[in-house]
Amino acid sequence: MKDLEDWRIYEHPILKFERGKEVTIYLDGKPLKAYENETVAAALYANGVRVFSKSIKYHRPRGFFCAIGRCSACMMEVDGVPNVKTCVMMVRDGMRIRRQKTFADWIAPFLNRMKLPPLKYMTLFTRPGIIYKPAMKIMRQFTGQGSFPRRTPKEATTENEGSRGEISTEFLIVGGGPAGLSAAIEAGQRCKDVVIIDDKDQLGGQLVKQTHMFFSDVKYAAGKRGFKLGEELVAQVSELESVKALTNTSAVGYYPKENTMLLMGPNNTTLKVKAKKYLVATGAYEKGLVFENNDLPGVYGAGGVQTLLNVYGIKPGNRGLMLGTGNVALIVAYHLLQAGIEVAGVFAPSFRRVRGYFVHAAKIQRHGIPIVTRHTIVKALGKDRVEGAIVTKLSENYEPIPGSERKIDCDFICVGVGLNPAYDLIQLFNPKMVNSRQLGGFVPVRDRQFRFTENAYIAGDCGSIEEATTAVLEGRLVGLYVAQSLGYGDEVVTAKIEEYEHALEEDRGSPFSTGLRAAMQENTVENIEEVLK
Amino acid sequence: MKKIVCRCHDVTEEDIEDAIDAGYDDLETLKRITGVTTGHCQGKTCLMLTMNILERKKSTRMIETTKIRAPIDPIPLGSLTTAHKKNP
Repeated sequence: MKDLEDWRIYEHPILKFERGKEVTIYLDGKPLKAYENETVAAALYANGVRVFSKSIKYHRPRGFFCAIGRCSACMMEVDGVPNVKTCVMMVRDGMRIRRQKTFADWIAPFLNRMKLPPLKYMTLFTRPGIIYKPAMKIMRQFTGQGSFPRRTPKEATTENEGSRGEISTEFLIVGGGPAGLSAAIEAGQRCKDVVIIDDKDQLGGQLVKQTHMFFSDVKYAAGKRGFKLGEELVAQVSELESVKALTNTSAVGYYPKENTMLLMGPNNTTLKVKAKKYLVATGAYEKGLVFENNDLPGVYGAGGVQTLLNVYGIKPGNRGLMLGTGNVALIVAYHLLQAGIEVAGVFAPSFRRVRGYFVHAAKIQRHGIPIVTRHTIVKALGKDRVEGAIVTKLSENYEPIPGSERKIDCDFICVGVGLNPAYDLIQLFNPKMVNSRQLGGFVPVRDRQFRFTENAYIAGDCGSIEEATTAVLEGRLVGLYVAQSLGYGDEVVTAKIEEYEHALEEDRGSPFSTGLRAAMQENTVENIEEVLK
Repeated sequence: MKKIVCRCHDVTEEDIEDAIDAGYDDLETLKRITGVTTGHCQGKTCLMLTMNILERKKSTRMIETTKIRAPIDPIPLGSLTTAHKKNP
């Protein structure tokens, strides 16, 4: 595979990338070209840097991965501050970035062949007590977690750090995706005080990355490209004076006794919010896949690839391999083709033809991309970046058939095997959780008004993995239910609720979603208070 | 060649299977013995992968999940203490 000097995309059929001023950053002393509005990790990736850090135990190479500050793969030393998540750190002119090297790096190849015991923090070198401190000091050196700077660097001043106090509101929406935004629109038109938070620097959730058109009923959000729909929803929310949007803010805790949610804002500031009603619309996490070398730089989730492609305008590689035939995989494969990147094939273990919509499959097959079912990946090849992959055919019992392995030439692997609902914030409310295969994973039991506890509602992918158009309808309904229960209900609200409930029923009415409908019915109760008792 | 389940703590599939074979066959003890789901990301991918391995090894359906406690995202400890202070 040929190495490019600059991996940025300058021409795209649908998107226009607005890059800021050109700046220079330094990686281990080497100057690199970057643009403002890029994160450090994206700028490094655009310059062909693939290995950002080494893993904690085996010192395996790690690179760009989740792109949203959730994993630990991109932690580097920035301007003297160790363990900075470079995928959420914005580029500044003259920034000095260093890889966190340890003296264990040279024995990494040997470590990789060994099988080390799990890292048990609770028992590691705790007895006798006298060796704990010196042993920990040495252990830290091995892990590559950086060292604390001797002098506090100027950029790392903590003047902004601290509490922003406590506020109370009528309705707090966690998550600025399609569901959260729709709820904000409906509730904001009626309530006096609505707060919507999102952990990214802009509202819109995953919609900002979607360049394909949605379908279902044209009346409700369909027939538009995803990012256009996002822009429209954000514009509608910003017009409402009653809605306050807090970006770069994530919900880190909810305390049911105090009915308080703890938010973490920019510059490590905290904010406590007491709300009458909560909406959890936190979306979903990507499913992982276990195969040999599945942590090599170049193995990405579909979300990471979409971020690189459609947010920063950077090619993830020259030739990709796609795993999974759900809608996510098919759509991302199409996004890759849009950006002029070769796709080696779409491989999936399923026996059915494709799991996603036929339209998406047909779109990529028209470009001559093979969709290969009954195949799975066994191994990613390469030393510190993906140089190929080995796939194998599966027998009837999902066992690999020996001798059917073949090598696929590719320089990145995209894992798009599906989504799991984000269960963690929901669980802090102490709901009744169920593990439902049809709904995608751990989801709470809810009532007909999407309530999973007395004062908390759920909408979108974190309740069941479905389309963005479904999330919009669910969000709108929750917004109306909340307005009604807070005493802002009138005939218009009742009429709208009826309309959207009917639309949602129709949206789920296709013969493909019978399993989903059954699971939804099973996990919906009449009275949520009784279930929780 | 390693099959990584938990990227934060480098826990491999083999580690988890060995632990299950040794008798640590529920999520809570597995979490404590291998460190899976206790890293930076708090189990955002590895929890479901671990459950799949458990389901396969025990041939049962997992119903329970682990206990989730706040904070759910890594945050600096300093900011958590200042949350107690009054308005600046």
